[in-house]
Amino acid sequence: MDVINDSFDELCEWLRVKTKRAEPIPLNLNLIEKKVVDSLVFVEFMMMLEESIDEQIEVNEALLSKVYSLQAIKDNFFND
Amino acid sequence: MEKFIARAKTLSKVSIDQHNTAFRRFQWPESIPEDDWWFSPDALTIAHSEVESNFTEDQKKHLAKWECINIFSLNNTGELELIQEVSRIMHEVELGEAREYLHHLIDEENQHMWYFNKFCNNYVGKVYPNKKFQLKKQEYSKDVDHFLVFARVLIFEEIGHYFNILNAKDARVNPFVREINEAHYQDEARHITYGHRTLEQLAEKALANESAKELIREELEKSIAINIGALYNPTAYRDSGIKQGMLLREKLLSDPGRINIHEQKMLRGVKRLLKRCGLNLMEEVL
Repeated sequence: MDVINDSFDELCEWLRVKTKRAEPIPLNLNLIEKKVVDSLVFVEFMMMLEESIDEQIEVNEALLSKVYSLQAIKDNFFND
Repeated sequence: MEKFIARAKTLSKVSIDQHNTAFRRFQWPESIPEDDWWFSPDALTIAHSEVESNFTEDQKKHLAKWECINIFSLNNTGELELIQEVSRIMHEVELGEAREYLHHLIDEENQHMWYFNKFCNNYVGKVYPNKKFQLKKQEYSKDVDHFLVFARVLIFEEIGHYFNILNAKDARVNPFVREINEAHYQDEARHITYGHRTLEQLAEKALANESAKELIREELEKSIAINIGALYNPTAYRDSGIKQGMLLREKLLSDPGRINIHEQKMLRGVKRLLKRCGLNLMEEVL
């Protein structure tokens, strides 16, 4: 469980640095609607997510509902 | 326009003469030997980079296998997107009789999609999922939309052409992989010729005012970044035994040797053409 939490935290930190934010990104913030990520960062972020969970992800419209916020990502990809 | 139509008719004739060659052209081998070069070492994403010398020949061969699968997967998903986009506009784009060639283009892209997909599934049992994605699809005028479709197609095809040429010519590469690259090269050379003429034809209306020009410039710079980024697939790095694929990706994307390859080898043709059309795209900074 700690390993899961660590890799989720690393993912959040990666996004914070990538989007040049001083503060941690709130878990419930809509990353797409609030334009935290553009298309380029989004694709990279999904690659980072793949590396964290060691699983391949198809990037398409259907994926958006699972990754629109950090909380959604936690619920969909970091639950035991 | 008359010159363009005559050229498109010549291209159509070649396509008709070679119709459906891909489905019977290849003798598919049982397997591709693991210790063969699946991809030219010169075409690897580490080639001409600062980290290249850290890799042994064996490690490069492993990487070559998975980068072959990455490029073939990108071709597979890219051809699908191309077919969808060209089909969407083919009956309304203002190209006169030259539009007829689009039927051949779609036909040939379908064949490419078939053999790239088959190759990946036959020899490694998977195709890498699509990684090119645009979050927000904007609404454009028809002229801008049509220009963007063909410009994006051309960016995708010219990058693919770079790999086709390197792999088809490199005698170290497995003969079947070379044959596939050669077949793809021959068709794409015609598609690129057609793409250049098409953009020259559509440019005047699409780039008629500064705001449209700016919008197209922004969209195409984004498309280039997405297409170049997709070449550096961390999953392919991990499959070839490299840990921390994302870290390697980030290093390579900012490596001066790689940026030089992007600008001078992959994008030079399309950027020159766009410049002739009146569109100056930004260059990656070393």
